[in-house]
Amino acid sequence: MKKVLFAASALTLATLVTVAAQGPAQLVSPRSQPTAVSAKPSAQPLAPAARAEDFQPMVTRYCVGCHNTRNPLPAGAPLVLDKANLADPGADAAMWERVVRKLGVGAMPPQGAPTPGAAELTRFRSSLIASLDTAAAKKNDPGKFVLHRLNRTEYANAVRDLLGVTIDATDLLPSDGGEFGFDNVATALKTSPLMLERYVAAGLQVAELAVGDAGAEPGTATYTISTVVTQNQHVEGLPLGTRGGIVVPHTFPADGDYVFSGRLLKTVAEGLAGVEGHETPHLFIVTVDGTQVFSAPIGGKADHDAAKENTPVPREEFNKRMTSPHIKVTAGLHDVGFTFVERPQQEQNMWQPVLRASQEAHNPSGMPRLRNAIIEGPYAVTGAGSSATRQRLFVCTPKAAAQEAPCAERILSTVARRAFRRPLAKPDMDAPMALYRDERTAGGDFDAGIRAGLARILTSPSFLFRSETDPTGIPAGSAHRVTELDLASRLSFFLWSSIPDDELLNLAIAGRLRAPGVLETQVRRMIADPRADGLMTAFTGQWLQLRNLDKVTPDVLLFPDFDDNVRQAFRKETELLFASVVRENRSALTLLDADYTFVNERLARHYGMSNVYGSRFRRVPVTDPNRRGILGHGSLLSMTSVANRTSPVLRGKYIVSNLLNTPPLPPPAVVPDLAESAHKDRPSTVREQLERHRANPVCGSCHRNIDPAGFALENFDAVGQWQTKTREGLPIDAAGMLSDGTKVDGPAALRAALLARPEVFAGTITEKMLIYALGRGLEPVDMPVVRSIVTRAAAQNYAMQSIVLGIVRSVPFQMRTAMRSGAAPVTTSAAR
Amino acid sequence: MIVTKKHLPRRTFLRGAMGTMLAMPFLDAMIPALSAQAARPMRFGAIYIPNGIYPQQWHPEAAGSAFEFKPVMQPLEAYRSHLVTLSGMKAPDGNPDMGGVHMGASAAWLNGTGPVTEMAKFVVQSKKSIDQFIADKIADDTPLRSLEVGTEDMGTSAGACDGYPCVFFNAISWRDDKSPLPVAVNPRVTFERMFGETGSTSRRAANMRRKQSLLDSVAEEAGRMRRNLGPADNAILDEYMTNIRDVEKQIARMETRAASTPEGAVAPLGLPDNIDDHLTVTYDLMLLAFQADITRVFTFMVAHEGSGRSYAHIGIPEPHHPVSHHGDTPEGIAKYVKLTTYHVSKLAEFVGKLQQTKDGDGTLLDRSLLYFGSGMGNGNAHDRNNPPVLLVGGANGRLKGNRHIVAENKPPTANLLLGMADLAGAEVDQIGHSTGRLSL
Repeated sequence: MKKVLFAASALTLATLVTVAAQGPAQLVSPRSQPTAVSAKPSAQPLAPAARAEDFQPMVTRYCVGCHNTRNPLPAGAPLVLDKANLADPGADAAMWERVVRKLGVGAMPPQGAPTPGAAELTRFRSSLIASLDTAAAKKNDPGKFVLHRLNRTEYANAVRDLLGVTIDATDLLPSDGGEFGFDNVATALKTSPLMLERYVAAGLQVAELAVGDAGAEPGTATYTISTVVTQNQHVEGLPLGTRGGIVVPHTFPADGDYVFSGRLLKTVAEGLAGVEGHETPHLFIVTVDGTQVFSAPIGGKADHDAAKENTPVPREEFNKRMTSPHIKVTAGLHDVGFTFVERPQQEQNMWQPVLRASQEAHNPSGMPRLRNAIIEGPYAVTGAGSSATRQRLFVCTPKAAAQEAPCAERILSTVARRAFRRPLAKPDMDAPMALYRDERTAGGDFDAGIRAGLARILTSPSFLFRSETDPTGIPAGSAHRVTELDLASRLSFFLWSSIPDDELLNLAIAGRLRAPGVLETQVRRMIADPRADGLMTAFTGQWLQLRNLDKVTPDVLLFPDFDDNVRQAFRKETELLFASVVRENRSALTLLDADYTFVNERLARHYGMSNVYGSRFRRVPVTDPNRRGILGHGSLLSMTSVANRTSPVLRGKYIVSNLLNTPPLPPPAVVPDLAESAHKDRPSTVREQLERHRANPVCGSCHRNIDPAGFALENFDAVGQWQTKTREGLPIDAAGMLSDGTKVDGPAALRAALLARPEVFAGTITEKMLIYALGRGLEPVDMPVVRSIVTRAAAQNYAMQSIVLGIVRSVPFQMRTAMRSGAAPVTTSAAR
Repeated sequence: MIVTKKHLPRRTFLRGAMGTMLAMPFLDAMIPALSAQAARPMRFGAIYIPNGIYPQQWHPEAAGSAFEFKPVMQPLEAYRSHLVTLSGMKAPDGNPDMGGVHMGASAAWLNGTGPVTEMAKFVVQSKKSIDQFIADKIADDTPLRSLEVGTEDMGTSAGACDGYPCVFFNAISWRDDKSPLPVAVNPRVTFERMFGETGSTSRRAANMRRKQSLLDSVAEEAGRMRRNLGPADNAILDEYMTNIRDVEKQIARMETRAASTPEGAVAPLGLPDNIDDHLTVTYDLMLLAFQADITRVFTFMVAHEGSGRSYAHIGIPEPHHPVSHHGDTPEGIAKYVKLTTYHVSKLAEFVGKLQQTKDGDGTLLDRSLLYFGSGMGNGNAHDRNNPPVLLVGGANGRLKGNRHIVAENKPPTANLLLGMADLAGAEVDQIGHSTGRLSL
């Protein structure tokens, strides 16, 4: 009787939560689900809900033995449960959310300790969630959105979308730092004199590239190819029938003459002056937008003999020969290729012991490789030209002096409206026009004036910072819906890492973004748009840590085939898989069990797949059950290895942190190292060492939860290739027991174990994506929001777009906390 | 023209920076102006090596002036008369409760504090660092108050910061409690900070004028914006405005020198893709900065604590951090010793160049105070005891070399930070975990 009563009350509460979570804005669909239900693995039958305080005896009996004031465990971040108040978990939400998280993956009580049983733990967790959700709903707290500086990725994307100018932000701007795992977190986006100097320099340079510059001085741009890139194959983006080299999108500042040159890789670091790989003749070519503009023969017997001399002379002779005469190029963006004509297969088919061309010093593949591609100029400038960028920018052309100022204002205000992401107010154009006039007064022509005004827009805090507005009369600390203009920016920075386009901006200005169906249509349109690659790259780069791939440096002697081509292919494979899941609205779980992947010839060869030819990536079926999903991706597997072996600890840590969202606590400050504790008679395998390590209770308390997931992937070596024996010739032992007691013995079993808790993996993506979307860390009060998004997505088999839409419709995304009481009217007319 | 994808033409610039090609045209024009000054200013540089140095192969046994050089310190033996090494000190913990074992080591190195937490969460906050106190005293009207450089940063792979604020890995210098000064890793960026963009004199002058009017006008807008925002937003905007004013001053000072800057300057082309070039060119830029009196204070992180760069060129393919966890095996220790010795040899090259460079009636080495060290001793166990603590240079006649000071009772390295402030004449009462002042 009592139980039934409690169940009913929990359901009532849960219904309340859902309604409240919709907020005053009615943001979510009216179909409400009891939140308590969502908390359990969907495979299990519904357990009747209960009040959290009923579990006090259970907590005392099974938890307090370790988690108490006298014996505060875990060390470093103890959980003290003996004084815990279960009558009101919301009062200590941070602590109880930790409990919810640990119970969600079945990690507590630890294996071997007395347990009340899975069903009882699930009921406890559900009751906690119900209480926490209710408490959070009462607060209705969307969190704090503070002034948000554009990070360098966003800056580069915004400049691209605004002006059609491509820049390499990593070269032009310093790194942004980051927090909570993402570099778009507002509180971590500090400014420094260095940062500011670079934004000013970038503004001037971008303005010059966009307008062109008839007074441009000659300069040199050098593009470098990493020494670990193998150049025996065709490079995507270059004309077919070429091999190696590089294609660069380069913005030419003016119509004029340019000089293109290539520098060959000198493969012997010191000593010999020669350039290897020219025993046979080769043809170096330069292409502009796919058309050959220059060629130079290199190699052959005469060159080979000359290069044997230990002097710089042959090298200088090569450099001279590989330098073009002056070539006319029009201003604007062109794809410039520096490459070699592919030679017939028979001649190329020379001794090639390994796939990677460079083995530190020598180049056994026999083909010359490009090291630098250099563009010099402009010389003999004939004008600023009429590049596509310029045509787009110049919405008018003054025919007489009197038309100049009005035309300048039209040009600059068209840019400013999108740059500032709102309709302009009167004072907005004062400063850009003042700079335009200063430049004209100082003797500059119309173009120079536009450049000055443009640079001013690009350095404006209205462009560089995302600020949001609070309506008049709202008291500080209270929640309100963000304006549609602010919502448009939130959407575009989330889905595109860039500014809104005209369609989105116009909808917001017209006040139609929140009209029925419009938001969803816009989200789906934006996901389909190529600009959403911004999300695919930035989010996978950080959540799945693909940015760390650059640091992967397998030992060249143990993995002689591994080159930069494979490394870049690893990255692209995972990015493409993620993009396909989002764009095709597949289940988030597809990331774990996809029966397809994306490879080019080089990657297919690495994985031992046949019949894939060429540099283009294409979708292929995955038939080997061990390879399915990201657990079989070389990206994940190589990033979690060290130079000469796999690291079950790193792999395990990656999985529990990034896929299960239960990151282990950092090791204690002074910790005996792995080998140190096994010093006297060193065991022969990593597994034995780790087992000794885990025998130490200080280490074992965390490592028994970390290592087994890593061991399950032991059949993949340090570069992600399948192995059945260790390098020492011992059989692979992939067996282990996960923290919830599931036994796993390989990648397929591990994947099955992760899939058995779909709400945990979907919750991880949701949580990470919410951090990314909001640009702030999550608070305990946000966790009910995460759970409600996951619950709704579960009904659609965790379809990825339902998660994205869930985030977009959530309270923290749709609302903001007023920061300033009695805020003055916003500066824009339409935003009111 | 924006130079992308960058490479350092090793020969051209390195040869130049050794004192021939690049350096001369600039300095010829600049040095006369400097020679007019009567008193030569002191220079300060702090050079951070991550992950400690194996103490048994670094610290001398004998105290006093008859100490012997252990292998890692060996490359510096030629400069024994210009160096003071200290043993037996203790590096700051840097908030290890939050798991910042590595992060805290570098973050606390120059301020004895490291990351600050509020309610068990990191806030992007620390304490003003000693180099900035010293800059207050000695920077004077140099174009750049201080320069912060490094060879890599963690911001490009935020995942690598393990969810912590990356800035604690990327910055050892703090302008004030809330303003970190992260390192610039691109030598071209540092070059442009020092000299402005390359180009003809008229173009450079025009560019500086443009920058000044941009900053002026932007500061005004930020002021207007401020009126419409709440306190949290304004704190961010205030930081931005402070930086605007700093950069304005910096450019104004640079402009006064631009007139004497000759044409045809060659800048390094960007990020070198091997660590050896990167270290050489960065040290060379610091030499130039001292020589031309562009700055008198720099901090240099030769790598960060979680460094992922390979040292294949000296036969160590693994990155710095895993090498420091040497496991107490003979091979592991040998590798750790080799790697740290390499870094000391790069420092020795820099010290040699300072000694070869005249500055008034002495050398730049006589004017300089260099602080070289790490946030831990034995990196294997992140041990804060007995870190490398080395001072090099004459500190403008205030520091006597050829000494090995054996500290008693494990004084915190912050005490030494105060001792260095004293050498520079900067008045600092207390910093981080200091318990007193180490008199040098």
